[in-house]
Amino acid sequence: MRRAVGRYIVRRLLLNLLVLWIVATLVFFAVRLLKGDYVNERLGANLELSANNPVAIKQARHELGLDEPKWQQYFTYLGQLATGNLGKSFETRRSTWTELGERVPFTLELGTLIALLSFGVAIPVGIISAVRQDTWADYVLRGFSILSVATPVFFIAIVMTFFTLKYHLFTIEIVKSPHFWTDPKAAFFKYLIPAIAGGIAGGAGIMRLLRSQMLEVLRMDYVRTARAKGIAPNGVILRHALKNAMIPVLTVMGLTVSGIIGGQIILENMFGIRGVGNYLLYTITNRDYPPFQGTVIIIAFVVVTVNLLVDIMYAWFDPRIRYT
Amino acid sequence: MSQGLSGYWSRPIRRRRLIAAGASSAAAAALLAACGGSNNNTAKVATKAAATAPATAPSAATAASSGTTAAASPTQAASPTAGAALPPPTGQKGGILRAQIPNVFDSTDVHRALGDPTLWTSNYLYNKLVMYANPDEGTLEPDLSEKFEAPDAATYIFSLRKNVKWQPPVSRPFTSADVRWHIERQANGKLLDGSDGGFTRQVFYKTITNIETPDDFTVKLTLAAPNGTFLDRLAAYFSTLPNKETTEKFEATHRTLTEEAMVGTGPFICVQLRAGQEVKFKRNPDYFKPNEPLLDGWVAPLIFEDPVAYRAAYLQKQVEGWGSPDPSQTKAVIDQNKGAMTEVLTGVGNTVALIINRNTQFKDVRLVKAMNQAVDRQKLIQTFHQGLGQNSGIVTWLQEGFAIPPEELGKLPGYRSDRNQELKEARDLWTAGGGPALGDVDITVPVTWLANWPDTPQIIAKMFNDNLGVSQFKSSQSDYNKDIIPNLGNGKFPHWFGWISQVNSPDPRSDLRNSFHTKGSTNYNKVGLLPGDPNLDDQIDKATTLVDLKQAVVAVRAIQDVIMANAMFGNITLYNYISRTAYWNYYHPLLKAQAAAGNPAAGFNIFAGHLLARYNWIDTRDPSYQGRPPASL
Repeated sequence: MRRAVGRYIVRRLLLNLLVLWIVATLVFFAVRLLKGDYVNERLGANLELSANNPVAIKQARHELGLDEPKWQQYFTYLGQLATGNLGKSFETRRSTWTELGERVPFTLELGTLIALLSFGVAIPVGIISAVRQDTWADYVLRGFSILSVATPVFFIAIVMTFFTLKYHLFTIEIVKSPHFWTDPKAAFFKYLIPAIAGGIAGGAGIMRLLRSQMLEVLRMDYVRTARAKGIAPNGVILRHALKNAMIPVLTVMGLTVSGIIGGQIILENMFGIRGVGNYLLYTITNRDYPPFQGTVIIIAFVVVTVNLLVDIMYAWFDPRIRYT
Repeated sequence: MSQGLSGYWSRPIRRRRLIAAGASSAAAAALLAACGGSNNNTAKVATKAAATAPATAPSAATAASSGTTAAASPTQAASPTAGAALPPPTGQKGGILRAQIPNVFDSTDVHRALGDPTLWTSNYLYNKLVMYANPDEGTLEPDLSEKFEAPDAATYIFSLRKNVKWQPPVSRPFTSADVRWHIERQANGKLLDGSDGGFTRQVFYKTITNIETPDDFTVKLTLAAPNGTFLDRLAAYFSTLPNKETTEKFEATHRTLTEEAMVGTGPFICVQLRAGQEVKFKRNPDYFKPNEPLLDGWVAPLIFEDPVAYRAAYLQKQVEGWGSPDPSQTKAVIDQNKGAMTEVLTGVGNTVALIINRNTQFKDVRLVKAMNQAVDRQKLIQTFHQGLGQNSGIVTWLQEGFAIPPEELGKLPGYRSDRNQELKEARDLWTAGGGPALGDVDITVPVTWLANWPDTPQIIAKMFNDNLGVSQFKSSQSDYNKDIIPNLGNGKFPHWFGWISQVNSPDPRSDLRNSFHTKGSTNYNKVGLLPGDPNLDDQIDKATTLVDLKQAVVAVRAIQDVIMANAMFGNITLYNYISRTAYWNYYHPLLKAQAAAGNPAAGFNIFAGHLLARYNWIDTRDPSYQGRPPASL
């Protein structure tokens, strides 16, 4: 069994490498299909100056390696990736790792809050809704989840922001970028609205999926047997039903975590959070290729890794699953 | 003499939307171009005639005076371009400003920076030999010099102030050697290692053929040819003087941001200039101008990518000013907070124009005149900018000192309010010039414009077809880098509608020379060379040698009359639009005119960041100051 799991993991890791190579290639060529490059977008905005200073423009392009043929740039890029080098930002001249290193904590803070809210609310709500099927509690919770699924996260955030500002409920910290470990109070109020908005949006889908899975599992013979054996209702739900109902929910939770790592682009931009999502948008707007490419690859790496972990956890949840 | 002038004199052509419209106050944040809206926000920026200048702001009505002396500033007696002395700063001292600045710095070396953010920012940290007293009119005042003279248009003498020191860690006196280095480095164009430095203004500085520094505080410059706009160039935002020692120290790493590389003589010291961090300035306690700066410091937060974030920060007083991409939203917020906020209107330097290529279809000037009269400027302002804009002639209204006054402009073809008359004449001209026989006429729109207003091609084509009573106009997409710029020199550029140049100077003579002199570097429409064209060379040559502003204004007006009578020879300037910014009342930005009698306040249209230290201040006694979060460096 262990050998089978080991072989499975090795196969998946090799497959992940292939996926990462495909992602790296696609993103490399995709960004270069966009009009303009960093020199055009940022440095050459003053066209007259550019037209009269070809030396300066040429020099800028050369410094950034943009004057090389694309195929050469590609192989240089692959060579760097092989050594873990994600390149340097055209704008700041700092390595992508340094840039991401400053931004990942913000994304993790927001993402952790969103995950806690999503899962922490969705799981009990999904259970309650299933156990109390067709009661007022079920109707209210289902209605709320449908509304949450249908409403875009930015809309939820805008409405919350509007009411907060209108009624001076608290100060939303926009300009500063505090961390929970440096200024917990400021960080709390900075992340409160985006975390709730993201949590509602992310948790609604999980709740609905868990509810439907629970309903299916609760009708199974083994659950009836467990009740008949005199196991307490909570025990039946949590030890017998939930474990099986969680299997597909795990997949969705894994995707949610991947999305969190990828950064909440909209929420980060709306609240001035200098996270990964905000950085992705900024770099692609300015055609700052290296950090954009590097960030996408990191996100892809996280996604494939999380998916692998989820697949492995399936075996723990469901002993019937064997990896051969 | 004018042969010495070169392409440097050309206005920059920006293809990107404006990222900093708050030219009147450096504290105005980056604004995005307005998106379509239906509110009727017709507004005009206070012009010279209408503005009432308060005691604390430079008078908008100040005209260039020749030889007059303000008693408080005897150094201006010999300055032919000087106006009345700037009023002294009178605001409350203290406080930390929080306002955005465009913060994409491509270099810490102002001699080599391609992007404007570095150059704009240098105006808070450095000084220039001379500076604009009124940037919209072009009147000058000494800056690093205490006196400047121009015995003739090819000779300029500067007497430097003796109490100027470089900021720490350099901390030595500023002398004429610094000026010599500043000029020679750019003129030579070489770095310390002998390689080409890509100095962006080398062409300009090479026109200085002799630099004399008889002592530490005197600089005499001799030009290759008479140039009456020389001082104007020295006063522009890109002419700040950096420090030799720090510039050379960081020469090889000029693209890496560090506050250590930005040492100047200016009112603020750069405390933090790092990638991905807020930009911070603090007061220079040894600044040579008394009582400046008023502010203790300035924190420029990172640019808000999302207008919702920016608005939320402003409403919570985490920044002092704000403008929405949709001006009607800004207006709504101001109206909801009457008595606590001030509305400021500022002209945006990106000029909108219709460029008709006369080398191909439009050789007959009657056709160009027809286009000039057929285009409905006011309708375009209403459609794209919600009425916030003003018609511009070949010299835009932003350049108040030289522009044709609005009441006179409104009598010229293309600018008259009687659209029926305009269209009748336009159709007659179109027919007489053989317009119908041209076949398809494509007025392209660059993609950068389309990013903001994607339905422009339909609007443009319909406008010309309807107004000329034809169906031959169409409009497609073009690209500045691929279609327009590479073909300007060979005369095969497409007709296009969109942004042309950024107005960087109140003095239009250089641009007029470039565009309408037969030897002009940007005379793409061969003005003066096509059959029937008047030759403006002599008029332009004479105008560009005039040092006295009053005389220059008269000369330029005569040139404009000819150009406007010929529909600008295809370089049909349409308008400059207006940005709307809201400020909390406790913050006093630099204004050209205060709000009065129901009119909003007006900012300077041309960059005036060098005046921020003198006039921007925070009033802690104002009721709106309540609830402002504390600010610190």
